Amino acid sequence: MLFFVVFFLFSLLFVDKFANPVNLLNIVVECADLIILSCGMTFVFMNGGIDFSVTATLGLGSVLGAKVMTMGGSPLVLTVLGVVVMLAIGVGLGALNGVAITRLRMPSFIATMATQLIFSGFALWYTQSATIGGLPAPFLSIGRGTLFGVQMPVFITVIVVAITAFVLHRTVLGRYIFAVGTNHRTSRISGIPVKRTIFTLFLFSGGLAAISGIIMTSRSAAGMPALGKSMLMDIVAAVVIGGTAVTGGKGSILGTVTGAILIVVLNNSLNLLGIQWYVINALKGAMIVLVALLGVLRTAGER
Amino acid sequence: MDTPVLSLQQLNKSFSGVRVLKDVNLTLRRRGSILGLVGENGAGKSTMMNILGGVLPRDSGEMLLEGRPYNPRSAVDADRTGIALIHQELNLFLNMSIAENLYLNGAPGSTLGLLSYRAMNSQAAGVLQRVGIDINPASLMEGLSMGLRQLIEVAKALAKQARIVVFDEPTTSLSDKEKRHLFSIIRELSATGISMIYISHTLDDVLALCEEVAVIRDGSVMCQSPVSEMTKSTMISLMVGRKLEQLFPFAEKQPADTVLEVKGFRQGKTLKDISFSLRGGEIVGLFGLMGAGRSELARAVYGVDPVDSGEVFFKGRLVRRPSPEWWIENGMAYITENRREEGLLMPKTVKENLVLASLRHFRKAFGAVDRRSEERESASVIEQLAIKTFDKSRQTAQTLSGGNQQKVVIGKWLLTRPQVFIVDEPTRGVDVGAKFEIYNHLNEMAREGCAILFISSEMEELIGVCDRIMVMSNGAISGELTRAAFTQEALLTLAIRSITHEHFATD
Repeated sequence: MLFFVVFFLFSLLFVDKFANPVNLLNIVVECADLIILSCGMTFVFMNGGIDFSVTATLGLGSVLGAKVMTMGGSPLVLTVLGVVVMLAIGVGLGALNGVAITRLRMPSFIATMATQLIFSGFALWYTQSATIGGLPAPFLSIGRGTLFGVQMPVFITVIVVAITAFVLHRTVLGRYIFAVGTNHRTSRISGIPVKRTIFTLFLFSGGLAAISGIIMTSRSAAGMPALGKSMLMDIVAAVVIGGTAVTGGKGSILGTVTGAILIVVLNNSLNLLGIQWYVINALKGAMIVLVALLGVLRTAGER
Repeated sequence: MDTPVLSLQQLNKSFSGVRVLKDVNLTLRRRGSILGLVGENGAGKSTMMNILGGVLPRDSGEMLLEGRPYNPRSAVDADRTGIALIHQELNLFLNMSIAENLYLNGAPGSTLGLLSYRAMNSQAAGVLQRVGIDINPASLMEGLSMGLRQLIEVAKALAKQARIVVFDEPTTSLSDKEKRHLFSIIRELSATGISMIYISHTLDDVLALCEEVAVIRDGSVMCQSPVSEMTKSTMISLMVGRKLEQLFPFAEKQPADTVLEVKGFRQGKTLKDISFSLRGGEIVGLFGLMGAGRSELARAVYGVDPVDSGEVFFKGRLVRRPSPEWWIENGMAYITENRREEGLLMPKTVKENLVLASLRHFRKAFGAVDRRSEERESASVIEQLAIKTFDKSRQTAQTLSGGNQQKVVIGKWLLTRPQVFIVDEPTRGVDVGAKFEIYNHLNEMAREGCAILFISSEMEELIGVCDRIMVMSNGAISGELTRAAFTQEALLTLAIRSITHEHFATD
């Protein structure tokens, strides 16, 4: 956290164009995408799992939603229809992952790797890797418009963060999630619906992928099969840097949000400094190592 | 007088300001002697052993090994010096062969990191013979019984040429027969000059096995004296620092109506046509040898494991699909035999563990947790059970002593207000003082009308606490005793009665 503030101030002062309003806006919007996706990933991480299929879910939702919205009709109705379709696809694909993991007992690593290939393959086949443009105007304002002078995506992100933080840290379901992530057997004996809880995690992951898909589709004004595909590693990195344990049972939404912002700022400012992308990647890697080390030190200090 | 094999002098150790060892002195007088070490959980036994085994550094004091200063810097250091620790949780790789486990570091006949399996296996066979095991050293660990695994740990110590072997509660998961075998091996090793420190809560074993006993309480060694000068009751009063008049409190209760009835439970070869019933307000013991099917029966009733056939009735009503969720909602609680794996969330706090099974009662609007009542309820249960914790919202379960851990598990179930309580080995690995408190809590619950099924392999506690005792043998109930007929002989006779025809089970 401290590191983050220092880095941010440093960027503000020394990186040319960083403080430029256009750039700051860019950062904020980029943050929105990463934060929402990382919040979903945090849920899956809580059970020591991972969801590789989020970006593919996002892409498939994007093209099918776009397809629906280009069918013709009243723009407002189409927008609502498109949003509903995209959300339904996100939650539905999440449920599919959930079934594979809880009913078929597949490890999430394998199951979501497979569904990632299937979902993105399907999206590419369906569109023949073309983008679907001509989206209705109300839909476009989701990603580009403002409300009370605030960017819409920022608005949505704040709501998403508030809701996910509430669910994870204040509700009975959240307690179940932490318990299940810590120890399945104890949770089961204590009457916690273990499978149902794990299933819910993937609903969150899929649903949040869809929300971020809506924003990104709107901003790019087209349904694209490969939307967000490059973000997968940044999502995982944000969650890890945010202090969520890969083994499950430990983590927080606030940490993930910090991790996501840190990654976006890092990407952005180093980019502006003209540093090559591979150097930026190496720096992100170093940061993950640093966080992992801190985690090790902290657990060692507890005894 | 000879130089002692090992002597610890004025050993001190603190963890974050708390002194856990205070000027500890301990002596292993001669080669081949066996020193018993007893004390309540949290008295400092493990810390002492970990210092001896090079796992922890000491703050001050001296350790002399055959007169020479001994300062292990790591566990490997201790290994090389010939000190082997056998922990309660065995340190074996089940996916590897016996020989591979014996020679994890430093295989015989290996050159340049290449293993010679022939040399390893033939040497392993020799070591195994010394612990009385006749199994191919190339076979995998996972098929072996707990008793054999324990002996493999001993063999591992021998393979490392250990001079001093420390046993920490080696018998908790052994059957009677396995235990006797282990003891005869320990005696044989002692005859060959290997010294041993034997830590246990089972005081009878300590008296039978050891030459000397040291009692440790609150980080200080209260005494070290020959077993001939010790009795069980002096050990206990030294351990707890006060006299326990009575080890097993028995309370007169008023049995009420039948609350739980199990009819014809069958599950493969583990459960054979089991029927029994429990009345409110009674404590019913369930005794049996290892593998008799006691825990399996409890798991089946609680709905954790499926049965092939059979019915459960709760207050006269058929339970169609028993599951932990259904039972908790309707008033059954279940303490499993392994609190670390199934009773507690070890890295979570005392409070989080206490409310775990009753979370649905703390639900407010939007599914939010009612944190105020959560705080209040957990505080009241901590007070009721006298759980020792410095901060329930910060201390994690894994840092509690065994007795306090078990109290947290009990507290978790108290919050669900059970009417039937199945407790499986609730006093395992728990010290004498805490055991007594646990019995009292069970009595208290029974007096308030709860039916308790008390599963245990300690005959004494069942005889001391129960109203009647059912005995299982080979997956069937081989008989039942009422309080007047309680004797260890009667229990054992029923426990070893082999039942060939399933009809005999319904007597």
